[in-house]
Amino acid sequence: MSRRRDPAPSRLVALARASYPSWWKARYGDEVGVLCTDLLAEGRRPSRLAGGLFAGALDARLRGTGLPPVASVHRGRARAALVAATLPVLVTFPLVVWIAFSTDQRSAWTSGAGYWLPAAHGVRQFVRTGGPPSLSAGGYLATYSQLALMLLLMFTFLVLFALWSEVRARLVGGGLAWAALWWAPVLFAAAAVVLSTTGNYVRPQLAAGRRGTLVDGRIVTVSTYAPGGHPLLAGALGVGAWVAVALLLASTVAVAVAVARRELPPETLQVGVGIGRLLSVATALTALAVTGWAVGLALEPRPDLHLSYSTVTSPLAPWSGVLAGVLLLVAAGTVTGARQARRCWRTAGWLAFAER
Amino acid sequence: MRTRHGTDPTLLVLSSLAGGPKHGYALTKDVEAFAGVTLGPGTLYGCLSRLETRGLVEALEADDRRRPYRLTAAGTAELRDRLHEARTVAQVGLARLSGGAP
Repeated sequence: MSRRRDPAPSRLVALARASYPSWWKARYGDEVGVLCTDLLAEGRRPSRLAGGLFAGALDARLRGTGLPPVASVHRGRARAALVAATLPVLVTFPLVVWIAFSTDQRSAWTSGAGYWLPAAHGVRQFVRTGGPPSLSAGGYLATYSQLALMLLLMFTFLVLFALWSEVRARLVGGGLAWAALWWAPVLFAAAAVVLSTTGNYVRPQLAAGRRGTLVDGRIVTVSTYAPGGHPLLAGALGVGAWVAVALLLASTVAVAVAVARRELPPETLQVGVGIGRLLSVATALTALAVTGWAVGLALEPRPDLHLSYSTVTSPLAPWSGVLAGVLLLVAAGTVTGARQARRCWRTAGWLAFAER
Repeated sequence: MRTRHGTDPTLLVLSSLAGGPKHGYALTKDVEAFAGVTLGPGTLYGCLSRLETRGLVEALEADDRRRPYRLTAAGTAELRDRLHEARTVAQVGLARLSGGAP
């Protein structure tokens, strides 16, 4: 039996032991350390020990196995689970925005095939000969999924911003850092609205009265911009608005992290648990909508820019399957976090009652 | 030594502790000896923490960072029930294999 003296594998085992939650290490850390030393001394493979420990750490983190029956520990775990349910949503939020806003219906039909019919008083009227551009079943699925994504984005944003405000309000302590933490999401949200509105105001506007020209039996509409406007400034303001949205999300992450580190009143923690549940439902539905979008795009086999139908396209189409998989994983994580938060919050309530 | 996969570590740990209190390393060696199953520290302590939470085992005073565990009364009852169930299943299976009772 060979005994390995290489320090690297021991570091691997130490890393695996360190990956357990703090309450677990406080209770079992010493004993596991002694056992690992004994097993390594008799020639057990460090990689195998580390693999088992990593799996155990994951189990302890996900299911809270061995959590001591102390109210404060359960409350702490409820807060941590709440953050675990929220952070993935914040990270994937921009991705879902990108999916929803990059998906588009395209058609060369524009205003349809037809002919000009001379009417009274020298006025000509364009008569369409075809029906409206149709979508395939896949196109409908992708389009309705996109619509669902838009609605879910609004709902998620509302939950993140409005309901987190309740939790945020209870976090306020003394000092500039806490004041910044409280005001940052509000200021960034206001900045996003102001920059976006101003950008729309200063950008060049479309000229009134779009003109149609008959080309090869179908009408082609030409849009022109009226003189004036500040395209460069409008572009800068648009970018600024998106930066403000990104900072809004980042400041919400900061609030979530602060929640994990600070004791909250029971009623505020209850609100947090409710937020976790709402987010888990919204994320699960978002993952299903992204899956529908991915399936819809995969079922859309027709070539783009055809006269008699519309196609649904997205520059993210080649990665739609991967994106759907990522969103499903995020949803699973969020649902697990929300369930754990609820369970720990309820147990903490019972334990606090028993401790009194 | 042949390692059997799929054996419930809870049953193995309870069975080992039925022979008297043991700490982590002693438990690992005992289970290896009577069942041929190698329990890693992650599996062993995951199992011990679950059993402790359910009140089936309890920790004794630590001796040089090695904390022994012993069965509680509830743990003894649980082990007895599970072994009876396992014996019933084993008897039926063996009888059917030998073409005896249905």
